[in-house]
Amino acid sequence: MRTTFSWIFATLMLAVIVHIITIHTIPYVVMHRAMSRISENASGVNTPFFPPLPTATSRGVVRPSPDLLYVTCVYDVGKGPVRFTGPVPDGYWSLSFFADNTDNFYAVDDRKLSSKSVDVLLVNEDQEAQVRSGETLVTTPSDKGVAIFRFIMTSPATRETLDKLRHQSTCAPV
Amino acid sequence: MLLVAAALGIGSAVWVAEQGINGSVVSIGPWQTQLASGSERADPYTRAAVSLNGLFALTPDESLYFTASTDSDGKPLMVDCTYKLMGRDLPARWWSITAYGPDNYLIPNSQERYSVARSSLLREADGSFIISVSPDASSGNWIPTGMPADSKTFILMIRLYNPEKALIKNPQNAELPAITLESCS
Repeated sequence: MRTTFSWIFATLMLAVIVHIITIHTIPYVVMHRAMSRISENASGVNTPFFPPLPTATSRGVVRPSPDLLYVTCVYDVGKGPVRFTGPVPDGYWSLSFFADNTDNFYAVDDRKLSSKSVDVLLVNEDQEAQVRSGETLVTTPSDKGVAIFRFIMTSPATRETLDKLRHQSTCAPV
Repeated sequence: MLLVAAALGIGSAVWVAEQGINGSVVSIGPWQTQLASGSERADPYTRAAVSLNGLFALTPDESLYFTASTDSDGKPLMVDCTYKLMGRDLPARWWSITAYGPDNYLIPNSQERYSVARSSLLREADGSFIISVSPDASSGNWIPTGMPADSKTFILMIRLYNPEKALIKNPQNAELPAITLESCS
């Protein structure tokens, strides 16, 4: 009886530990899979990928917006800073960064910018001091992660113009 | 013992994450939002849930997301039923309502139509809107639910980009469209 109780207690304790570890691990596993898929499509890291407008056959990211044109890029600042540039259209636009645990640690949209273009330098903590002043710096908590440019299509008529603009978005090591 | 503990631990973790059970959910009728979506302040359970159900979600000051898996009476949304969404313009610079299958991907339909948006919406004389969500074509605002062979349920998702400050502060006060069941085939 006592042995059975001890077995159940030990199993439950172990299950709780496994549960906690799994909850903390899920975001990293999901993000790792997403980064692999995006970098494969882009043929590498620090390279932009221009996915087609989402349809029912799209399987890149869950719950894609059919009204948004995206540019995605897996960044890796391990060997040096990565620069993100591009034109900013009329209407909602944003550039956001996601760490390897899925956290959205930075986002800038068209309303927060003073011009119709963006130029952001992504660095890790060690690189912060090495960069010359005057740059718009964003510090990533993890060397690897994902950057996403979002362009909202307010009507089908805007698609072509926005598509041309989004293809001018860049993501490249310095 | 190890196998049992691993099965219990991993199984319960994935189940909880898929259900999105956590303390930061705001419910308005059938609509729910996770306020800590994408946030560095998110607790581990929210982070796990968002990674499975809304990877790459922006934080609420940039965008708010509300999802509904039931109608306003609490019954699951079914692809072979027709629903009416009735409401008024939502307090954001731009917003849209999109239907997804239970796999969280867009629902196949012959029209390749998946959403209605603020900029494309037809409005009633008083400024309100009515949206038909149905497998059957409808004049006016229509979100097709198709007839996916492998699923019977679907979800609706509202995206609000650049939500108004009052909404970010008190999302529980948002006036979101009612989802009324009309008929089932």
